[in-house]
Order: sequence, then structure tokens, then C-alpha cells
Amino acid sequence: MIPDVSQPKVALARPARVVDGSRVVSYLVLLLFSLASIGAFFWVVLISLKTAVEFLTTSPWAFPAKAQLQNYISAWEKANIGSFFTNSAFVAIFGGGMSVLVSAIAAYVIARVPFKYNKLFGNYFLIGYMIPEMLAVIPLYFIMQDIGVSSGLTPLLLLYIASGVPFNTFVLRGFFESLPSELEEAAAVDGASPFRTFWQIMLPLAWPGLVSTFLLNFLSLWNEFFLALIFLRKENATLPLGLFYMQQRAYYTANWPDLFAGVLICTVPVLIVFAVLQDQITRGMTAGALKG
Amino acid sequence: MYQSSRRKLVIPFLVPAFIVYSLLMFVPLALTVAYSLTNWQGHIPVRPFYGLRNYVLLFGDTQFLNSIRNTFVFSLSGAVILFVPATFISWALTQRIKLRALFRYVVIAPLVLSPVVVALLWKMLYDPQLGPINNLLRLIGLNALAIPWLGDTRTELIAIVIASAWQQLGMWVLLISAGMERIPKEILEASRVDGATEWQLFWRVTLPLLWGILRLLFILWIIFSLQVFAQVFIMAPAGGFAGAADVMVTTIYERAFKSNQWGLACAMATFLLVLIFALSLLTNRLTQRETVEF
Repeated sequence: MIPDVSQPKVALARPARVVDGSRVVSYLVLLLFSLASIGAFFWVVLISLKTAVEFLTTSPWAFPAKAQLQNYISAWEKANIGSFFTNSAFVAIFGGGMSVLVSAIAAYVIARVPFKYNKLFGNYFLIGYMIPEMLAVIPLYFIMQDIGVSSGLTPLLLLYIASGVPFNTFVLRGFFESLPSELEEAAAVDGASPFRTFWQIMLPLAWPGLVSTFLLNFLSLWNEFFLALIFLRKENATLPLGLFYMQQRAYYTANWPDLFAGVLICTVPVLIVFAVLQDQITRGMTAGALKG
Repeated sequence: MYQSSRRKLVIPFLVPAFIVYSLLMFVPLALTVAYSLTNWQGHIPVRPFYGLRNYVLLFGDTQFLNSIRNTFVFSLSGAVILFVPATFISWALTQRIKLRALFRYVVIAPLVLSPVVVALLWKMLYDPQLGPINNLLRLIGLNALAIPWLGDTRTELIAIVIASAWQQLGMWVLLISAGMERIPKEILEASRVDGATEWQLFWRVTLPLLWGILRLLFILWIIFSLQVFAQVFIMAPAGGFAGAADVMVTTIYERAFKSNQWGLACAMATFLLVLIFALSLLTNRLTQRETVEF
């Protein structure tokens, strides 16, 4: 069963004298943890606004004499964060979208069109859900060279599409199975072709599931590091890989504020997405964890 | 007739997913296992059959054995570090409090950060001179504790575990608080009427009822920690000091892409693959039982 985390929480009714004690403890626990995390985030923001000299010479909590938006511009342009951002957006949106689309049609057939091997295909795709793509990376490294796509973003994009298939087909299968079959039958009686029935009736009905699945794909691809490290070069990195190389350079150039600005450029978009779509995302996460 | 006409969809709809998945996941995974039986090294694409000798080498390889040990230290210490804050925060979040949505967001948000960002953030936080952790420790007079956390073989691994646990805490809180909300109110009410304190209630009623979820989270955490790479790779470059923080995936990466011992690296990957596969099957069985329990 998927716990429905979006449901309003039921406040427990209880005698007032007990409530106070446990509420005080609750606030203490939550405040302590939240302040530490927010503090760390605030510290990153502070440093991203300092000059390199200020960072090295003033206290970590000192405010910058003058907020340096310059660091963001320099990270975006000089350190190539701008082009890494574009690369990440491309592989996360296009790779995630393609993976969900390819998986959705396969999941539909497995879930709703009875043929001889529904179960076989379902289980075949499921094997990949239990084993991380990173363990296939050694043969893949040579396969990509053999098929001539060892440069640019293409190998990574292909891998991202493939690595999403097990999770996506699994989750979407569940979604398609839960849809009522009356609409499908009515469409067939009215003479709609099977493809049209799928495209205009079943796919729109599965839309919430598709969105939730896409969001999880997007987040994990936006953040992915291992495959990017192996299949991309320094010049055409994605954001996480670009930040890694930027950090290596920072040890020599001592240009830490630029790195912190880069970290925020990578982080703030996902934090905003998560703030807006928290329910869809957490529902997908718990579903994935509980069904895995 | 309606079913048979729909069957026309089967092949075109299955083919794209089947091809990308087979070519880029299933076949390479199978090849990893196959290559683990070859003596494949260096830059020449020659893979002479080597039998099981890579596996013999692997269990005599001190670096790999050390990384297995570290991975298990990572798993166990991480589970201990996560358990207490996760249960208390989940419990606090299910109380009648204000700003719940905000607290919840702050606790869960690290889950959507890149492991690279988490590693970089904590590497800075741990910095002996400029990092706020040691500055804070000095401020409250604990100068003895203001050590270079990542620069000491004794604390390096545990410091990385703490950073990873901070990120994964959200997953624990998500599942544990979902579990807490599903505990029937009547049970808690009845115990309160019988005079149980909140503390007793938590230990004697809530926690035992969450056992299924905790067990699941524990296995998911082990699967997660078996795959840990970026955190260690970034926070402890080149395995840290004398390999104090080597984990399985960093060792595999090094053997394959740095020293080009492809056959041996494939054997290590196969070993890890079997471990993860077994744990995943176990998770599957546990979650299936979960649906019956609740």
C-alpha cells in the first residue's frame, strides 16, 4: 500500500495537560534541526556574496561589506556554469521526458493489453529496478565507443533514458492497472482505433502519474554524478560534474565564493520545484520505496 | 475483436523500451558478469578466459576487503545515526504544532539535492579553519573537538556518514511519519485512558507498531550505502588517508578507470551486484507482507 502522504494529518485529541509537554519537546526537536539546516544554507548564501579575500579573512558568519552579485556572473560566464546549466536542463528534461514516454507506452501494453507475455516483460523490466546502472558501466564505456557515440551529451542522454525504464514502467503499470476499463470499451464501440484510444483517453487519464514520474526522473537526472563523470568531459559537463571540477580548481585558485554561487545555481531551482510540488514528489518517493 | 485489434499495439509499444533497456542496461549487466571471468587489462581489447581467478584475487585484495569493511561501517553507523533523529522528528511532526509544513519542508528538502552538492556543502562545513562547525565548537569552548574532521583517519568515514545521513533523513521521516499517522487513534486513546504517559506510549505502543517500516528503511539504507560513491569520492579524494574512507564503488571505479584492471573490476562489480540483488529481493518480500499488516 502507498501511504497517502498528501492527506491532511489528523490532530490527536487529548487532555490539555499532556499536550503542552509533548508540544514543547516537538518544537525543540524541530527547531534545533531546522535551524542547523537553515543556518548551513544561509552560510552558503553569505559566502556566495563575499569577495574571495573576505571569505578567507573574516568570520564565517560575518556579513559581506558589499554583496557581490559579481560571483554569480563570474560563475555563470567564466566558470561555464551557464552552459553546464543548459546541459543539465537538457538531459534532465529531455532524457526524463523520453524515458517516461517510452516507459508509458510499454507499461500500458503490459498493464492493459492481454497477450502471451505480459508477466514476462513486466518481470524483465523489473530486474533493472533492483540493480543500479552504475554496475553496468564498464561494458557500457566500451559499447559507447563501439557504436561511435562517445562524445557530447548523446551517450549520457541514452543512458538516462534507459536507466529510468525499470522504475517508470513499474510505477506506470500500477497507474494504468488502476484505470477503469469502461472508457476504453466505449471508445472501441464508437470506432476509435486502439492507438487513438490510448492517446486521447488513457494517456490523459494517467496524466497525474506521468507528471509525478517525470518529476522524480527530472530530479534524479538533474543531480546525477557517477555516469556524468564517466561519459562527459570537463568542457561539456552537467552541473554536478561541473561543480566537482570547479571545486578541484578552487583549491588552487582559492576562488571559493564562485563555487558557492555555483552550488546555489544548481540547488535553488530544485528547492523551488520541491517547494511547489512537494506532494507529488514525496508521493512518488514513498511509492517507489515501498514497492521496490 | 476489440482485444485482438488492440494487440496490434503490443509490438510497437514495447519495442522502444525493450531496445534501450536491453542494449544499455540488461546486456551490459550480463557482460559485467561475463567479463568478470576474463583476464582483461590495460588498453588492449583482449579478454582471455580466466575462470574464477578474479574472485580468488578479489578476496585476497586488501584494498577491496578494506572497502567492504568500510561500506559495512557506513551502513551500520549510518542506520544508528539516522534512527534516533528520524523517529523523534517524525513523532514531533505528527504532534499538534504550528508551522508544520515549513518544518516538514526543511527536513525533507535535502533529499532532492545532488549528492555532489551535499558533499561540497559538508566538506566546507567541516573545514578546520573556515568551516562553521569548528568555529562553533571553538565559540562554545570545545577547542579540543575542533579537529580536522575529514583530515583524520579516525573521523573521516564517520564524518562522511553524517553528511549522507543528513540527506537521507528525509526518506526516513517521510515513511516513519506516514506509518505513525496510520496507527489507529483508538489504540493511543485507550492507552492514555489507562494512564500511560506520552513517553511510555511512544516506547510501548508507537515504536513496536512501526517495526515493519523501520526494518524496511534499514534495508533500503543498506542498499543505498552499498552504492555510495559521490560523497566519498568528493569528500575524501583518492580514498582519503591510507584508504580510510574507501568504499566498494570508489574502489571499483579506481580499479577500472584509473588502473584499467577491467576484469578484476568486473568481478568486484558482480560481487556487489549479487549483494544488492539479494537485498532487493528481501525488500520486495518485506513490503509485500507490509500490505497485510496494516
